[in-house]
Amino acid sequence: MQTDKETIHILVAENLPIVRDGLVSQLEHLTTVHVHPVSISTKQSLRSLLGARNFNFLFISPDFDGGFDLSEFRRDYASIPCIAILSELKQLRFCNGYYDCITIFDSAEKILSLIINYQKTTQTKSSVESPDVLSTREKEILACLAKGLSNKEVADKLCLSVYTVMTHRRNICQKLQIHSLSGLTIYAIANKLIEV
Amino acid sequence: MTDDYQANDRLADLIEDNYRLLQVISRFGMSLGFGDKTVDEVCRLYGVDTITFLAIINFMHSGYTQVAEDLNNLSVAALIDYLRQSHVYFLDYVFPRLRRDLRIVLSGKPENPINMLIMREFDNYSAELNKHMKYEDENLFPYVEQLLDGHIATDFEISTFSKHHHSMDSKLRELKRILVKYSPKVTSRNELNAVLYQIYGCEDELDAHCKAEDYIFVPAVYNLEEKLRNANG
Repeated sequence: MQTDKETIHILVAENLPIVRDGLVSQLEHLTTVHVHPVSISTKQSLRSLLGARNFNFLFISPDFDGGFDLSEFRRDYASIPCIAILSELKQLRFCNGYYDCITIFDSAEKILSLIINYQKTTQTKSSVESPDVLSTREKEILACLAKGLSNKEVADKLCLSVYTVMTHRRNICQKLQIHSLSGLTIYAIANKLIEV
Repeated sequence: MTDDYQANDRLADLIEDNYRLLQVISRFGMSLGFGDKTVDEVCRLYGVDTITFLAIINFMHSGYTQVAEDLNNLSVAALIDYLRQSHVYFLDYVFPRLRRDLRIVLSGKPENPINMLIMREFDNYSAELNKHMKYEDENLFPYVEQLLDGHIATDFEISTFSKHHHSMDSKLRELKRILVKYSPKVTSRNELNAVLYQIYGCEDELDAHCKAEDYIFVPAVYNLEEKLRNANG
């Protein structure tokens, strides 16, 4: 299902093409999160991409392109969690300093839980999905907005604070996944919340 | 896993393999009818940098997941030409055509207020896309052209741009959702479906355009900035 879930940008840096492409494929097919993985095979590309844009995760082999300098990376990009890709279990001892590690024996579920767990620890606001059914109050507010009333006018009419109206408005947009006033008006007319 | 296309592959074979590459070919200014010429031969014929052309089509062919090994080899000037042509394609061709077709489908009598609001939604989106692309044409590309001339500005850098660069496809998705869920009954159902197909296609192309900017153009410009900074001490 296609919703407006935020895309998680993951950089995959691995020497072995089969491991690299396999991991990218697993990441692309994860359910419940929307991931865009991009893979690279040289330190030069690693440097260019990290410098040029933000990534949510770096999955990297400790011996990437002749050896990856984790401490230098952490100095420059402290906010990006770095996950070691291990092609052999005996490499587990190389995991020191990494946020976590995955091995080629791990399942897609393990990778998914790693991503979700990290996000849980960093997200400040709850992204609990609310049912997309509007409450009576929300319908009332939506009808006023669709008639062209401003937030302040809605607040006055329904004896609410402007802040409360804005919160309701935000929740309405989130539930309907419609963010423009003309879009909200279309919803109000189609669902007979207002007469035209 | 995809095998990378090479300079000595026949261009016609590439298109047979992945028809989406057609959009790239025309935006590099190449016309169809190149017979059995190879990628390199066609690139030379049209004065296009072969390595840059291959970087774009291979990135696209990998499903936007594999970035070229050496972004330093790319011609940033060729990338600018390509991206400018993409903007022209969207603003002068795709969106006017989409608007015309949507207008025809939604022009039933009696005039329904929802139709009018859908057109307004479309126009708002087009205006925003226009602003987004014009900003790049008028500010970002001239900045990069200055870099190519060896001048580095002190008040702007590419990472500032990339951090605020958002794909424009989520709003298009919203418009599509509105059409699917709330379109009033139309008599021309096939035509409405055809418009929706166009929007889906447009969404894919915008996504491709945006990813080429984010993962090829922006990192290549970053390299250029680094080189100039190092050269200037």
